[in-house]
Amino acid sequence: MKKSSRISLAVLLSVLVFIAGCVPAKSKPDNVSGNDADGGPVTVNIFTPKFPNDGEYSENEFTKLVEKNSI
Amino acid sequence: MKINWIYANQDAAKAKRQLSLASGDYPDAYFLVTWLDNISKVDAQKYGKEGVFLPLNDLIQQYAPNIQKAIKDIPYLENSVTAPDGNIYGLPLVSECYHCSVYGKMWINTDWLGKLKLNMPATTEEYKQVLEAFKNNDPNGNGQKDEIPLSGESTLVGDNPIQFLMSAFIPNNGKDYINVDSGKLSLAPMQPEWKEGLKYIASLFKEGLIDPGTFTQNPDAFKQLGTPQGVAKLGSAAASHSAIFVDLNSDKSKDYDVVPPLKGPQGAQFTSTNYGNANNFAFAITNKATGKKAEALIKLADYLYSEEGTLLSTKGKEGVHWKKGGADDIDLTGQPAKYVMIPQDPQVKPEDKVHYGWGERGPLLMTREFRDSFGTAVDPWTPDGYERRLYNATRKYDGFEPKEQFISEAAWVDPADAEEVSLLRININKYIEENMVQFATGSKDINTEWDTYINGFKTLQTDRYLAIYQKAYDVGK
Repeated sequence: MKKSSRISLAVLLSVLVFIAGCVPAKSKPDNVSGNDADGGPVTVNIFTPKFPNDGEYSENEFTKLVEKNSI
Repeated sequence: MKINWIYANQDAAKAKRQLSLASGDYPDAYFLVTWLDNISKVDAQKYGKEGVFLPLNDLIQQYAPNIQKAIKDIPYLENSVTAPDGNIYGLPLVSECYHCSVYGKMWINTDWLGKLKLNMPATTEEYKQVLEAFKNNDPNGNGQKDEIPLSGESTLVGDNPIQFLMSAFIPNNGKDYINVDSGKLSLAPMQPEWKEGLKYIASLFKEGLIDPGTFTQNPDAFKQLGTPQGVAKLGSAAASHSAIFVDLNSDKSKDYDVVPPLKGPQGAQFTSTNYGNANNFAFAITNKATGKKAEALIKLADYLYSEEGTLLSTKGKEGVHWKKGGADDIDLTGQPAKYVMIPQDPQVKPEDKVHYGWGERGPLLMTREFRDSFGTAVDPWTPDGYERRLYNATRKYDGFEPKEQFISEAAWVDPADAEEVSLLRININKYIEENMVQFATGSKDINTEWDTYINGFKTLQTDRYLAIYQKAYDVGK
């Protein structure tokens, strides 16, 4: 009975250690006001065709305006 | 919000988008250039049903006042964006280009009309008489019978004279050739009015009034006909806009004005328009975007549906690319212009241009009111006043649209029927267009070969074709 309890405890501890390894070290707050879980701005991945002379939209002034205005 | 753009090269954009959806490795949103690639209504339903595209209804209700307003204010938009299951899976680039919407225009050399003391033709018979006069009475005055009464070209629907001429007999959209009467779809090229129209067109061809090159030549050859060295050669030309066949900077350009829709022998007088629908989508949010990502993306789309968002995206930066209209700036409708474009230095290389907006990319709301509100040169016959010339020309076609129209690209075809109807359409259109030219040019005789032609539709499963589209038309009403 005593030995069995020790085994169960060991198994339980192993499971807890495993779970702890999977969970981020620090719990993060729910995002609010357009911020992601880190509190920073949400990053969205958007697919778009690009033309040879478009330049990089990421560096585009309008992109920054939309990023600022959208959320 | 931060945007991480995932680019595709122009020529590979469609394939790359399709591959991303097929592989499951897709982004949070698609933001497309619709003339290059778009999300069809069939794909919107398919990926919506699979859960890949998010239904946008609730997001729009919560976060998108500009989109809500557009759906409320623009009569056709709600039906255009709402799938048969009630969900909105994508947003269109709304571009109410008034002059582009009437793509089957006919132009005529008004200088020649004046020289020959002829009035603008109003009926098919008068039009024929004018073409005969152009052919026989030497309107270019060079003493040679070198005038080409009527021409067109073969690559664009509106540049084929049959598009315009047939509309004096029966509505002819020149695309899927489907008409609607009291809610019932029919194929125009199977109707007796089409036969009468072909007889008329064949009579023009037989008299040498239609340039034989019309059905084979490309736009470059067509433009050479309209802009020759020396005297003018071209009397009348089918084209959605006149710069297709005559160089805007040529003096000859100002000699061509539109022929309003002709009245046929039975009183028919129509023009086809593609105004007032959204055929496809430029924007969709996928199920990779949850929570705040989806909220940010719908807010992005909502900003672009605002006047400021559309203006800055499509026209660029205030003070650099455009400015507010002044006291002397007149818009296309004749009212004070709201905005005026600032001429850019043509010498600047494309790579050195200031890139500010995103162009006509993604969801935008270019309403007719918005498009018409830009200042344009007052004289429509100058190159700078070309937009006004087209606006004025298009007004002459107002009011001749059929009461009901079916536009297959805009229809909510059931995805289960999509492949079948697409294949049927290819075969049926090929049959219609081949026979149309054969009858028009006389290589087939209308009187003796019409019945055989009509029987040929049975083997093409025309009934099934119309039934599929009828279902799509009925659910989209």
